[in-house]
Amino acid sequence: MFDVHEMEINFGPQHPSTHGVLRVLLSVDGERIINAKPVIGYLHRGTEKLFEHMAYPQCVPHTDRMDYVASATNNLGFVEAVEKLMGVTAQIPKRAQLMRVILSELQRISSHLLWLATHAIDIGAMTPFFYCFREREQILDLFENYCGARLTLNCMRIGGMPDDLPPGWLDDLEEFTGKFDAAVDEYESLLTNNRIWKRRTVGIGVISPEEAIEWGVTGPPLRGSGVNWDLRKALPYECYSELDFEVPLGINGDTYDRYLCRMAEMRQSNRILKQCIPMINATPAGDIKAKISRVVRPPEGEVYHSIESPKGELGYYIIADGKSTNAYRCHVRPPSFVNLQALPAMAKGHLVADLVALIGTIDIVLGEVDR
Amino acid sequence: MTETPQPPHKPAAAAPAAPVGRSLDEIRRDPLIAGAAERAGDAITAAKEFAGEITLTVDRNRIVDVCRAFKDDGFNYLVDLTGSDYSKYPNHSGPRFAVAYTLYSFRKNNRVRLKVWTDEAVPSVSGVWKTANWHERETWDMYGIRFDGHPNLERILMWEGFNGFPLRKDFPIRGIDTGARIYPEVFPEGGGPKAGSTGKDVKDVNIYQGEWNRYGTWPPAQIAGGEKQAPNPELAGVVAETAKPTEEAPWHDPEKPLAERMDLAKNGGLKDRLFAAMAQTDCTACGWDCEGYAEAIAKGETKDLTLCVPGEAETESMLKKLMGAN
Amino acid sequence: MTQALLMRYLLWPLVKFLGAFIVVQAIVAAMNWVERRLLGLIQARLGPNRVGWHGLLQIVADPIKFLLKEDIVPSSSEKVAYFLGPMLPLIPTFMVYCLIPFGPPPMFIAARVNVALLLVLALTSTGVYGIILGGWASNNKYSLMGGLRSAAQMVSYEVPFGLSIVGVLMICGSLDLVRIVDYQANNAWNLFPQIVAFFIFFVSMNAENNRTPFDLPEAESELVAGYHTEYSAMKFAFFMLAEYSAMIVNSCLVTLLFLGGWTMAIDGKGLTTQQLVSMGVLGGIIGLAIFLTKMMFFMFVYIWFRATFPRFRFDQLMDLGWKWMIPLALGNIVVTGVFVLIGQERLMYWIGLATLGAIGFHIFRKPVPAVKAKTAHEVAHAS
Repeated sequence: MFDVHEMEINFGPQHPSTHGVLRVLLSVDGERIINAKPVIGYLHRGTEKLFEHMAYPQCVPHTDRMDYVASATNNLGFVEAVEKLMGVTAQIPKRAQLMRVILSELQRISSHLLWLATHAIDIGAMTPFFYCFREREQILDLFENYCGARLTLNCMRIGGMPDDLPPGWLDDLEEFTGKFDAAVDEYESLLTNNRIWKRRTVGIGVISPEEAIEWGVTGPPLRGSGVNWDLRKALPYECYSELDFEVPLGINGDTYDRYLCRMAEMRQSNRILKQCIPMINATPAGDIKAKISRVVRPPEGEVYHSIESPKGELGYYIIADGKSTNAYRCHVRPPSFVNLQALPAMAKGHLVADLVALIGTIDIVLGEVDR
Repeated sequence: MTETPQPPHKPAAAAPAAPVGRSLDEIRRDPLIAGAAERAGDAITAAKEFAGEITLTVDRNRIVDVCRAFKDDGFNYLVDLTGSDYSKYPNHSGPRFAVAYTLYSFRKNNRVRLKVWTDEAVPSVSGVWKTANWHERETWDMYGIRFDGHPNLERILMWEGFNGFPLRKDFPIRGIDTGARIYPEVFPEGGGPKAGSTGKDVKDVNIYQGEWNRYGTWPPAQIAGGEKQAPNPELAGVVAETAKPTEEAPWHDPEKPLAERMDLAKNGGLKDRLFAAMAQTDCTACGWDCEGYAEAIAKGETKDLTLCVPGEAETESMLKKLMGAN
Repeated sequence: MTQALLMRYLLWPLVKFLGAFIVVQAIVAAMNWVERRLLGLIQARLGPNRVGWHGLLQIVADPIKFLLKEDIVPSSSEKVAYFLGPMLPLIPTFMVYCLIPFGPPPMFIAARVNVALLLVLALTSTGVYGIILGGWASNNKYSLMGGLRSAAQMVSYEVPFGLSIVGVLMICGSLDLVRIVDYQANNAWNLFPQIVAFFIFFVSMNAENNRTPFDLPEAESELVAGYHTEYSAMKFAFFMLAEYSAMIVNSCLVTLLFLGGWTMAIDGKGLTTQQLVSMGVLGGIIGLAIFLTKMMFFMFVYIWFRATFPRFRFDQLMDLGWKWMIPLALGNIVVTGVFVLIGQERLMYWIGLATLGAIGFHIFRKPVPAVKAKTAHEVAHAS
């Protein structure tokens, strides 16, 4: 009887809450989403093509630019994949391993802080943004003191670390870890039991464990659905098997559980950091490089190696032809790209306002989605 | 549902415990894949182990069945799916592309990789795992490997209507059009960014003057249809004018190998021999077309012999040889 | 005679209106600075502090910036409506200034009307037209959605907004704002007997003004900037002006209706209107100061809310309005009616006081602990 018009809305690529240049083509009936189709590629820089034209050590700075809010974990995944390809994983000194763990856990915290800040501001809570940035700033200072860069760290090398920790760095780290739990309490006091926050997140974007695995979702979104799978536990790399931490799990697989998971993950990361400090003090200073050839020319073969990045499973698939110092093929398995694919399934039937919450809860970085 | 993984394996790379060089039958009996391999039967044609990872080569036409067998056997998580172009792989013979499927089993807590060889198309596994959808689109976008039965095989990272498949080995790393060929009304001739500018005789890098269909056919729908069609006649005309052999320059043909081109130009002057050493795609990445660059080197306007991108090391060493001999 | 009439009914009110207008505009401009500094204070940052002493000249700098910016009119917009959009909400809000007594009469009220409250409600509710018009005329889907949200929201919350006042009217027996204030000075603040109405009025006034947590029409993260996405320069400033003016009007209303306006008296003892008037000019200034203090407290609460709360979703907002606020307001009318009927208004004061005490006790029972929320992990292992 009535002429029902679906409205097409172009959500992005220039939009305050698409976290970069994501574009979502929305068909809406009023404000209810009938279909959401993510359109990506606006930040495609051909990183994989570049990798093929560069020697392995030259690739490390380029990995920074993919998930640019978590560059240390990107470095880690790449150098570990190349080390696996060369078969030198066991030779990495303990101190270098611990430094890698410290940097990647700090990076996990900083990435989660950025996620919380933007997620909260997407849902309209303005203040957590500034609180999160306050702590993130301290982490960036730590990075800066270690490697000189704050965002694109380029802080790992094939076979070890570029430099030893500067004097006093561990004291700064200890001071930070001592304060950080209280900071997480503060964020939680603003949001966790807030009724509006709960109404906006509980039951939104539910994804069952089976569905999550089917879509290849990894990281906090997978654990939010209750699947106990964290690469640091499942296939431990570096010295994670010696560290004591737990994997936070959700139950319902909704936005609220994913929020709780990430909050708990920050606490667990802090716990790891606290354990690392005495461990790294017990290792000889300066022992940060494996004795491997300076020219990286791995044998012919192909490996897939992945680590638990803040967003999920970050994998590198490298084919070496055995003759060249360049990778013949280097493919990146970006967690954001795969997790984003589940967005239409999560968004269907929700309102436009929920789409914003969902983009936030998947925690995408477009640099990584588009590479 | 809560999956509880087994106690973790040792880091795979740290302990290449599996004896290197196990035969196909031995690998098939590996507890990790034994169940699935039995069901897959003779679809698994070869197996390889490296750094503790098992790679199984699978018959292309039966990949969907094999994937389903693996999924039923617990490999319910498709970690990654990607292609690779083996056209410049040393001593490689056989189909040009490989598609690699990395599977993970939560129960066995380990991964296995399936590999399929193809020249153009592979059956789609997007019906087996939903996550394969975007992975396959990306592989199509980057390599032009068609996935038969894919519900929505369109470009994902490159824009719709992009000309070529960027991760193919013959796609130059720079010097390809940025849309001018496809949207002339948006990118007027003479506009857009310029690269390698020397102030003289600069051509617009936006306008790719080479043989454009060398990097794939456009529009891609025509490929998806399976039949090869003549390129857009309007564009083909422009292409034909630029990169084709002429009376004066019979070597100006990108299809000819370098040795043949040099042979054709052996009686010419230095400029002609330099010209013949170029990649002949007129890609303008150096700032000139191929002839212009040769002329610039011959006249001493530029000393840089490394500007020819599509020619890669081959052209560079030949240029150095020619200039050294001079 | 004619001259005296002209003086009394035209010139003098005009002067008073202009005075009120200038003062309120000054407050609006100052609020801009106050809001940003306060938000900065709450959010562990500084806020504007570069222009002038503690950034105070920001008050001047912002209007200058708005005036000098390019006024962009989208080519596909509906020109007349686009132009009218920002103007429409301003006119009724300015008219309301005539009706609001900012201090003891007759000095601080431009036009004393015996149905002032009704008139105020009528005028403020027309503010929505400008927003709808602006959102629609921009020819932008986000603006349109912002406008539509705004329309639905304002219409929904107009109902509890109006209903919550009925209880006050039943107790005070007048629509004249001055008499409502006098009644409160001679008894006690309406806050106590009408605590439920106060709560409803306060929530609805937040919703009416599109303030957090009800700022959906201009929800930045969802609708870019909502109905004013396409507006720039002075037109945008007009929207802001209207919003802040409406905030001030509503703060004035809640002060007058529930907090005793310019008086500071209980049971006729203290600074009642008569007391203030008898003190002459000084009394007037004291009354004005009391009024402004109370009003600014509510302005502060607006900002406090903005820093604290996330945003409701649209359907939840409607739920709250229709399923909670309206039934609650109707219930409040019935209960108040019963009390008035049996002549036990005094009892209501004690009930209200007890309720407030209970709420206060609940809040200040002990220092608010940092919420130790159960982590998802703990939840998972407990079940």
